[in-house]
Amino acid sequence: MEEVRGNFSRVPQEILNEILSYLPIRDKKSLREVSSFFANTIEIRIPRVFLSANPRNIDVIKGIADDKIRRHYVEELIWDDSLLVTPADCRTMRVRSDYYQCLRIPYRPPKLALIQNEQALLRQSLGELDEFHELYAKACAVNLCDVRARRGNDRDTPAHLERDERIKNVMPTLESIRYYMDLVNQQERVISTGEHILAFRIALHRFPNLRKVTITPVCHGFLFTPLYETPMIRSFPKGFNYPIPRAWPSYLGKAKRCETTRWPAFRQGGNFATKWNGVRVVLQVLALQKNRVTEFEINARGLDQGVPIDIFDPVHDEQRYLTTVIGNLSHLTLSIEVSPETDSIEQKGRFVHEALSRNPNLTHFSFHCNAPSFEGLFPPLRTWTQLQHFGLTGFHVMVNDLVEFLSFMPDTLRSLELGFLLYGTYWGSYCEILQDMRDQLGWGERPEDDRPKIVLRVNLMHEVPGRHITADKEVEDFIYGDGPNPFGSPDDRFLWNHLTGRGILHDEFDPAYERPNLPPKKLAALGITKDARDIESSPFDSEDFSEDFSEDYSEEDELEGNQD
Amino acid sequence: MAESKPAQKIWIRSNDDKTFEIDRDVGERSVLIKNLLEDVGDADLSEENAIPIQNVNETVLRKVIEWCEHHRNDPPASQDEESDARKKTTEIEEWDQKFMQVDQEMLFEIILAANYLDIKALLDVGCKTVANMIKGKSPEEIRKTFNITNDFSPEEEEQIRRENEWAEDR
Repeated sequence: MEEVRGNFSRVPQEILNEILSYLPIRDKKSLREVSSFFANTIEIRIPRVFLSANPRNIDVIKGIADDKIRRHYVEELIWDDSLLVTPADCRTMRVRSDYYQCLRIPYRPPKLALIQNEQALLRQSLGELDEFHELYAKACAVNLCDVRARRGNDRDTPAHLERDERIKNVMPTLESIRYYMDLVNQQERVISTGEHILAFRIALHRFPNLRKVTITPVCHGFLFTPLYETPMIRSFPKGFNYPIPRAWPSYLGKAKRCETTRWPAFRQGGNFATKWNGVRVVLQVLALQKNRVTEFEINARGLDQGVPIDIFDPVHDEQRYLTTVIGNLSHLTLSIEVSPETDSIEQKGRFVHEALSRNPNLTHFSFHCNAPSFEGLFPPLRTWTQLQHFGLTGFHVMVNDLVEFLSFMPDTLRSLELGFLLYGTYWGSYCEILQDMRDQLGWGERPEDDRPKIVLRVNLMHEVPGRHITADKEVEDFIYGDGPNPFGSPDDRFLWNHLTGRGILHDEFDPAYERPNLPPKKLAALGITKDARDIESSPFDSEDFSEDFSEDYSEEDELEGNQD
Repeated sequence: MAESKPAQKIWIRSNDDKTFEIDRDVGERSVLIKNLLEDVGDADLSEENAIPIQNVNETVLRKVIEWCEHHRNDPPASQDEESDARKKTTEIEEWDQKFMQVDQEMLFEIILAANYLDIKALLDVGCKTVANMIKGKSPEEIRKTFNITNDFSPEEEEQIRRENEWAEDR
């Protein structure tokens, strides 16, 4: 007996549990492979599963569905709706434009020389590069720069060191393309056979405690920093650098308008058949197959992406499915995108309102949208008499509109999330919102337990995709107590929308990034970042980024211009 | 200025009959000893009437006393701290790291003694040390480190691997 337990045979179960409590799941999994004692002692529960148009994800979900015990533990299914860009996609300028939009998401564009170098290396192996190869090499160069830029001047941490190691051993681009093309072929096969749809149907049938379904286009996050380590992503070779897929096209303003931000009808087919593939599949199956799902998210995690507002238009089948799904929910999160030049917010807002009004039992609702006006999109607060959580992010708002809207919140509200709100020059600021919320809502006069908890997410002064600042305590101290307005005084107009020296910095894709929102010197003093003198120069240093920023963008702009 | 009072002495005896004279505040790092002292009362404290520590031998008890002496002035950890901060990290302060540089038999003996004597902070350091010996290692490396035999059949091993692949890593 002892030989299969070693010294662990001497410690009681509660001490073994104590030791295990310090280990991440990865190490617990290694321990389970040591001997039968650990395999039987350490239970790995699987509360969430992942699905996408990828055979590895499908195999795993089917394996869990066949396991008599573990299938009962599954509570959440996350649908990775980020399809890999294919060479065929690249042949159409429209998709190519989408692809460039993906490239805009990085922190900062890399030095052009780095991209050219990556392309030159590939050219040595392949001769002339086609459009796909050029884009591939560019995406790989962008990824590497991204990893460096997002690290900034941070001191070494186990996560940073692991990423450094993977960069050192990064797969050569030609080898990467071969591996990627296998993945693309697998993806095409799954989409053509509908295996992923079948797997989703099995999941709904075989996971009796599945309550939540989330669809997101940002599963892959950034290179070596995925939002979720799906079975597909975990199966990649350690140094695999590839064009990070972010499936949904995004609206980038009038100058870079992209036609694909409209919900495509099936009859349009062609290159759009796979757009929002996961959204289409999930809505249809959830609407038509019996299930116990009460929580549903279409969630781009704060990035400027979403499904087109057209999805609420009754001319589309998905509107019917979405309305049916909404009717069964207690929790709903929506990331919606509008094209202000072509979408009539008044008309489409009415469709949204009608769909949401179908469910008076909704208790939790979060709404992310880039709409230029909040007015046409007021959710049906009078219908939601049991609402406990309300979230509003991404909107352009006017202070008066927003605070008046908040005044209609039911007394049942226990948490409010506001974030990434945008303002015109004369529309107001976070500073004024907090001031008016304190003075006009009267929430501070309620008993302490009845006051809504307020979470405010604010962009960094220099925006970094996926990063934001929260200052929950400071905000509540101001609204419910005697604290100062965390956005400063109304006299200091420049800072009205920025939290300087207050709150906590977060990264959606890297929980370990969390740190106080302090100036560089103070972060260095806390040992979070390096002192200036400790920083080694590297080809990816930030000076290099700024140097070639305009150069790289003019190349993009030129390509964008070509499509019009 | 009042002269500082000499530390009150207490006596504890290992299960192999070695009696140790220690300062009361050092002994009271152990919740077990603290409770026993309250039960016994000051009048009955003596070298002859040493508190028996039944599950711990002289060598281990000496190590535990060394730890308690070094940490005699540590503030008591609150319940909240225990549940939150402690779980996040396996970082161990330098002195404790050196203290735990002992052979594996002794390491587990210290953990068992800390558990028996109810010295939560020492138990934490011991468990973190063992956790750090596991972290980042492959199954084979763990077997070597702890001298454990692989008793899986090839089919069982494959089954465990397959189940592990279903679960996330973090």
